[in-house]
Amino acid sequence: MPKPLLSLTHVDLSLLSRAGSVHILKDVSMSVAAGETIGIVGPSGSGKTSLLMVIAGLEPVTSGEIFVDGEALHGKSEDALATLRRNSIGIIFQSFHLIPTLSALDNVALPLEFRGIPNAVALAREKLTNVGLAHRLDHYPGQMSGGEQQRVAIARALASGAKVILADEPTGNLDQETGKHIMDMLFDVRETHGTSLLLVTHDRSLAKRCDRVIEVRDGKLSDQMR
Amino acid sequence: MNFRLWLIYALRNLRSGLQGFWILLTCLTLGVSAIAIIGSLAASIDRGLAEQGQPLLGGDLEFSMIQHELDADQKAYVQALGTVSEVTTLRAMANANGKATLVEIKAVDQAYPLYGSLLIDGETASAQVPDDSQSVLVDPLLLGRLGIKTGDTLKIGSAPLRVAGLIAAEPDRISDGLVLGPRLLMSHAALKATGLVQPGSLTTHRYRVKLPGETDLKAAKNLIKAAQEKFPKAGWRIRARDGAASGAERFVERLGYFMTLVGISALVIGGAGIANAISAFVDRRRKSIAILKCLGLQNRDVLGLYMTEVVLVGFVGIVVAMLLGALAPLLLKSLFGHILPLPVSTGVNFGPLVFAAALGLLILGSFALLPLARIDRIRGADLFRGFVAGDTGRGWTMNWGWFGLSLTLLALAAGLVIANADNRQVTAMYLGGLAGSFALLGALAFLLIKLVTILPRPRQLLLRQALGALHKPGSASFSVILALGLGLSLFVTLALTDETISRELRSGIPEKAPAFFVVVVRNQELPAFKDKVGDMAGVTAIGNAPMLQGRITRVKGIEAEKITPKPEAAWALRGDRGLTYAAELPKGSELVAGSWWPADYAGPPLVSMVDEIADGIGLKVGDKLTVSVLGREIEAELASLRRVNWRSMGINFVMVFSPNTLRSAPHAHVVTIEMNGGDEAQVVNGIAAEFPSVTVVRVKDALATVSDLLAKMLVAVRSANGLTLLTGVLVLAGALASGLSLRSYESVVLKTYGASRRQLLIAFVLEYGFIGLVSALFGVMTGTLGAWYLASYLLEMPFVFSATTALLTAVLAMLLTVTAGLLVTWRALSAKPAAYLRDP
Repeated sequence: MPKPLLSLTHVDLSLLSRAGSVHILKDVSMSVAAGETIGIVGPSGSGKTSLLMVIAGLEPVTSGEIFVDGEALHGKSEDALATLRRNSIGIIFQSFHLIPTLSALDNVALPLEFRGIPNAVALAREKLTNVGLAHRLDHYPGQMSGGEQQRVAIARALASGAKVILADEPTGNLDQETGKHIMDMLFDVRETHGTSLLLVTHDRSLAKRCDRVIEVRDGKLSDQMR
Repeated sequence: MNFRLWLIYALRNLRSGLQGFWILLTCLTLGVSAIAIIGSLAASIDRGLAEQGQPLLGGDLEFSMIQHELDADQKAYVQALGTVSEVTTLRAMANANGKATLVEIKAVDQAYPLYGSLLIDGETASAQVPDDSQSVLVDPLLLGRLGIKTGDTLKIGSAPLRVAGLIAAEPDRISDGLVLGPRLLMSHAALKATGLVQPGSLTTHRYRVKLPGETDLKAAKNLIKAAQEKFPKAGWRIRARDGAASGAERFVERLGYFMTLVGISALVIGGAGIANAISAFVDRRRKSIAILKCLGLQNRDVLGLYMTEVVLVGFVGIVVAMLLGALAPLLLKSLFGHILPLPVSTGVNFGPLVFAAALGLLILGSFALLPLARIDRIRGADLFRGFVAGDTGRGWTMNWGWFGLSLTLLALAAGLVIANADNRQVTAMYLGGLAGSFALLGALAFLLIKLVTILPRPRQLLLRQALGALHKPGSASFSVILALGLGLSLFVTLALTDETISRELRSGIPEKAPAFFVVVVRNQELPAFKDKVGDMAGVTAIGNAPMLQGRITRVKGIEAEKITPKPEAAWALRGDRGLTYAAELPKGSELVAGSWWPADYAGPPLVSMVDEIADGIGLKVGDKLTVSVLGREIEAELASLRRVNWRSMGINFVMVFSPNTLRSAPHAHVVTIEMNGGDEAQVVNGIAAEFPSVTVVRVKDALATVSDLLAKMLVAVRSANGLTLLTGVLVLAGALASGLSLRSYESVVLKTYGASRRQLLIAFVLEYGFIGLVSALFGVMTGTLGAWYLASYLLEMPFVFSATTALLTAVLAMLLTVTAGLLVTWRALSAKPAAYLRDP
């Protein structure tokens, strides 16, 4: 059996709030193979987004272990986690989260440049062209439609050669047709780049396009469905 | 480090403009500009005085003697140096139409002026003083005082003189020091005809030298040294062109120093605005910061990127301030050059500009670091959850490393200011006071806000809403109280100082003060003077004291030239000074050391000195002091030290000798005339008619001249005050503006749930009123303390507390905060709900 790209073993996540400690993820174990697509479903507040956050190293787990591309997340400094994200993980948000003061091209080029990639701007231009935005390079996020902004976000996630893409309801703010177009694009990425995809969604039909579907309920992973 | 990328992306971020940076920019630019402009102007005047040194002094060198002329040897020596122009100055009374007024006479030869041009009203070419004994040129001011016109005759001493023309410009006016009356220019022959120059009269004989060829300052200084070595006992004062206007120079220096301290205070108060603006900037950029962290940028890079952006904006402000500073002398000269009494050089003064820029950068750094350090605590995970304004997601904790760095930058700024100051002790104390006020006010604001959080919640909804707003996340109340409180402290300090100086001006003449000082009443005419003047209407008492001129030549056996006195006592060693003898301790004097000699003392010479002058030249009771009086060297023992209340307006001299030392020397008297009722002008006219050789100085006129100088200082104090208040208001406006979006959101939500505009307005007024009140209370307390210190230790005037000023400050603070608050609130209340309530 090939080594998984991503694995979680007995992961627990508790967060302190003013009302006390909240146990968000409970004994979560799972693994994702390279190129695999997984749909994550579940009711609001069940822990889907938290699951993505711990995988991205944005939230330290309370206990358990996570490995991404062979590297353990636990014990890593914030900067080391940032480097791991930069090299291996792409994140796509429901609200796109582009930097409003930078053009589409700069939004994609910036992480590449900080990574020290010599032809960052050319690569960013190429990725934006790949998502059909060659005519929008110098536009600011505020000057683009939701679908276009999400395509910039995808180009940004792919540009650094991410091995896994974590997508948190990427079509939640888009109309049905644009949403379908964006999802086609994400699934194409798997075909063309071999990138794994973890897709948080409320849309079960969308989830069913994935290789596997995981349901999160009350912080636990329940039956895995197809 | 990715400096290049930080710069590129900071520049890209700034492409869309400087929105959100205006308060930072204004606070920084205002403070740095004030320092740059003041420094640049002071340096320009300093340089102008140096460049114009020759015309201002009237030569490359000036040898001056009080009361007597150079002897033949000295004159020959001076004449061998170059072209010489002889000038004699003295004060006298001018009479015409039965009126008399004090005038400043300057008698000159045909070589005058050696440098620069004398201009006569209506003529454009450089003129000369008429070379006869019947004509004078006069200051136009004199015409009005005596009711005469050009061509009329006035009388000086015993000579009738015709007004041949009006003086439009006198090149060396500034080098004559304090001028109490209008100028009169005449020939030496005319002065001789007046009969005023008698032994004991207060004439100053000046010999200006235009050096041939080599005229650089160093050469002139070498000549001074050589002259002093050649004639060590001459008792002359020799000045080169750099000493032409030392009085004006010192005044400009002190005023510049005071204004620089105010500018620094404004910059520090603006620092609170800078901190607040950067805090708001970090809040605005939180989403971008979180995105960058999600994209894998390390903390160092994110921080570097935004710090670069702040520094770039800071540079814009500093460059603007430096440009203003560089242009200030040119603007001053082109707008006010024709009325300025001082020459202004228009070249760029890099020193003060670099000083201002360095201070600006250090203050920017020290106030920007802590708010920027919050970037470290913003997490990528925040993108997945809602942001709460002002909440970094992990709670606020002090970042001690950054705090230390901030303090280091502040210490560097303080060190720079102190290193650049003449009076380092006072500067250090001032900065210490500023830092203390800052810390105290910070602690007070923190405690008050804490207190509000732990107090039981008021039942009254609007009060609860208002107090709750003081400590909610994102509230700017801390920085507003800090900045406004500090601004008001300085405002009260300056306003009370203004009050102290103004009161001093209004009540400057004590009850028992004489109406006139009359100088140089000759020994033999004193009895007649007392008789005649004593009979005049309104005259109640006439006092007199012997007056001689003498020069300190040795201190404890060491030549006076080799002594380095404290700055405040240096004048006592410069040339001839007035001195007297007395059997009894003079009125207005208090003995602070040693003992007074018996009335019939007949032993070796004894002298009593003013304590701070004795201390300034290193003398203690029992030490020996040598004074040259009328060419005779007298060695006296310092018998006592006196503290003199100069405000008593009595006759007091720095040096008082035992009577047996000087009684037999030829001398004149200084006389005081006290009046109760009667017409002062009549007395002046009467004295001038009967005793044409004496000079009457009206105390009110002399005080008016000094008041005029103090009034000019008041203008500076008031403009400084305006600057600090403006900075405080800017900080307030900035803090309120940065919270506008959150306020609008709150208003919309509250209105949605039934709150009326009126209710919201009342809650806002209560909130801002509380902030204003706290700031005002602190401002009045610390400001009063500051003004008391200034009055007691620097101005040496009785401190005046004005309840009106205190009350006005409180009202002003409340008005400012409530008005500014309401302006912002009005916008918040007018916000359209849809824009805030609709999901994106």
